[in-house]
Amino acid sequence: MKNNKLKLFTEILVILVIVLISFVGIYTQKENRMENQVKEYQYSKDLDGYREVLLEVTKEESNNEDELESSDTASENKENNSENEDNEDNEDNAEDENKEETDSKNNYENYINSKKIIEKRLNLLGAQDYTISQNTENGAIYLQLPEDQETDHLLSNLLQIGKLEIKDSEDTSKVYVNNDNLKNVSTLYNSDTNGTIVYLKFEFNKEGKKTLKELSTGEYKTNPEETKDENEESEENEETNTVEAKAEVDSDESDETENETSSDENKEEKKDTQKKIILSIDENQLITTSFDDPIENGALNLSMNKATTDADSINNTLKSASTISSILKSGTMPLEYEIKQNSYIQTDINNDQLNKIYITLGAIFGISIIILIFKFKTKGIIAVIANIGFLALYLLVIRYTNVVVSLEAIFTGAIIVAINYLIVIDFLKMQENTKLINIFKSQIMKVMPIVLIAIVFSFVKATKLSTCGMFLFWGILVSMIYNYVLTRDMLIGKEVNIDEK
Amino acid sequence: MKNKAIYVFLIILIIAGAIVYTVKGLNKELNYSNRQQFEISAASTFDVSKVETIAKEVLSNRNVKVQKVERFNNALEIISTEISEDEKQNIINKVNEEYNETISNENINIISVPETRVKDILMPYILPIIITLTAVLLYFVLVYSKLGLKSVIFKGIAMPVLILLSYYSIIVILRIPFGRITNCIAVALYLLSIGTLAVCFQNKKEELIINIKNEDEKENDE
Repeated sequence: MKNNKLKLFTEILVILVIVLISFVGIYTQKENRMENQVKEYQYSKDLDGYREVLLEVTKEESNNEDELESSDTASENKENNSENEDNEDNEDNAEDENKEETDSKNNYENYINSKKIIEKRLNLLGAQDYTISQNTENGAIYLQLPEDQETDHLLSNLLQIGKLEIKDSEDTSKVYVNNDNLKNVSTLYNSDTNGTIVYLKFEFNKEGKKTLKELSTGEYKTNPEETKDENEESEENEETNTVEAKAEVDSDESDETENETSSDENKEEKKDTQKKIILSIDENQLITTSFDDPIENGALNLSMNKATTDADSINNTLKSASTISSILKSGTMPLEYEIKQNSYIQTDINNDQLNKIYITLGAIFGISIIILIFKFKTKGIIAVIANIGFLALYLLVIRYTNVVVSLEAIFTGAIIVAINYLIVIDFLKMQENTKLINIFKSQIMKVMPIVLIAIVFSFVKATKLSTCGMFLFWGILVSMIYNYVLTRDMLIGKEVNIDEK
Repeated sequence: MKNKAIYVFLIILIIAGAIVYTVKGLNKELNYSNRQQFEISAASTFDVSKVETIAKEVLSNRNVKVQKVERFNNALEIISTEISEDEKQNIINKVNEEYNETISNENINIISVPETRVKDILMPYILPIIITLTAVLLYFVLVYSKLGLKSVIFKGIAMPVLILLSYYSIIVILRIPFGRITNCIAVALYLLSIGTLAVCFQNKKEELIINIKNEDEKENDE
């Protein structure tokens, strides 16, 4: 009996310590101020703040509208002349109006498509928990993004046009392959003894495959001597000292030098005749090359770096390649947008509003505690202490598992506290001849649907639901372990047989 | 009989909500509505509540909100359903008086922000809820089929769906502002409905098992 009381007292002390750590904290002195050593909560954009961005169509569109207006005024001037001209002008006006209607319809479609592409890019670039809206009259797009380390990187890449072209290096109007021929873009890497090279792999559709094959086997195929020269050049790039030494030897022998000079000239001429393609994205040339081997499989691998073993460099290159891949996969922007406003907005859910939510939930919790005490007397008080201890431990686990706290998660946490409350009531209502294992099985069956929801929600991209999932998962895990280790012992002790028999 | 009455009431509520939504739409919070806003910044630290009072005086009979911009508390964003140039000037003048500042009206533009569509607000929730509901339904069917397959499937689908639709119908009919907390409560209600169903089914199953045991014991005694 005495041992049981001592054990209960120890358990209550443990709970008290957990409660103090969770709700008050552990303060140590650091540079003339007291600092709480307990980890802080991480808040979502609803509770912390967000980046507010306004995107507007660049003014080239308004130039087009000006041209339409000026053409209208010109046509209006013509109306003051002869009747024949008036008739012609009426037709012109009608055409202009039709053109305006078509243009405005096209603009509307372009606005909608632009929004869809931006949304795709946000998803591919890993943006979670964003809000997007659009003014369909002028195409302006309003974004709310979570503020983190990736926000600026996201914004700098969101508005890229994403125009891929493979074209002739001399006559850039000859575009052979573009986004319409692109099937997929992916990021690869290859590691060997020299290091890791990151590649962008472009996969083209049937038409693109056919065009690439024609280019790589036709006039853009590398001449054999060119290959030799390129090999020499590549050797030069790798071993400059060797090439310099060669040049010094050659210069001593003028005949040979002349021969070499003439052969160099020939080489240059051949180089000039070697047709090359340019692969560019948004007019930025990524590579100018001819094809050493025919491309039969419709895939083109573009190396993004030289072989390196530097982990940071590899990660940065992987990130760049992945960004380019996401931009190209999401489609070409029909319109050019610019960032008109880009500010960090602090949350409007202030402490007062959060306190109202906490007070409401706290009041419900308080009422349920009072019911427990009235119904179960002494055991009810122990159950209340156990419930408060669970809440404290749960909040500590949330902090240390880096779960982001969102508005939805706060309400989910309240559900977990309710579930824990019901588990404790099951212990209180337990009769003497009841086996604990049966109660455990029953509780697991009741909680299993919530576990299923927790698992699905945890893997959802949207932060609002993934935080709910994590809150549910940790809540149920902590509740089960806490109640079967501590609460059971406090309320039931060793009186009940735990065996499965 | 009682259950049927509840179902009928909920269905009528949902239909009424659908009609009101078709006619009047949702009463969205300022965060999700068409709105206009402008930013002011100065050397002083602004008190949000004071500036909000000033803004509400000028922009009377309208929803007004003031939010802090950046992290230095010297810039604010004033948001309302509609703001004219005169009203903007008026607010700036009053803020200048209050804080002894000389904020200029030039270079402060009123920005129109389009409304966020209901579809865009609810889209992140729909697919996960469908997936979880399917998974939970499968679980109920596998574990509680002895209680009557049709009854389990019907209740498994009807209860969460009816509760959620009824909740949104109440929001629409009573013109409660549809905002960020609306969907939080919806998620909590969804979890509660699933949890309640699980508890009910499990309790019924345990009763059934106890009844079967008692009957077996009676037969053995006989």
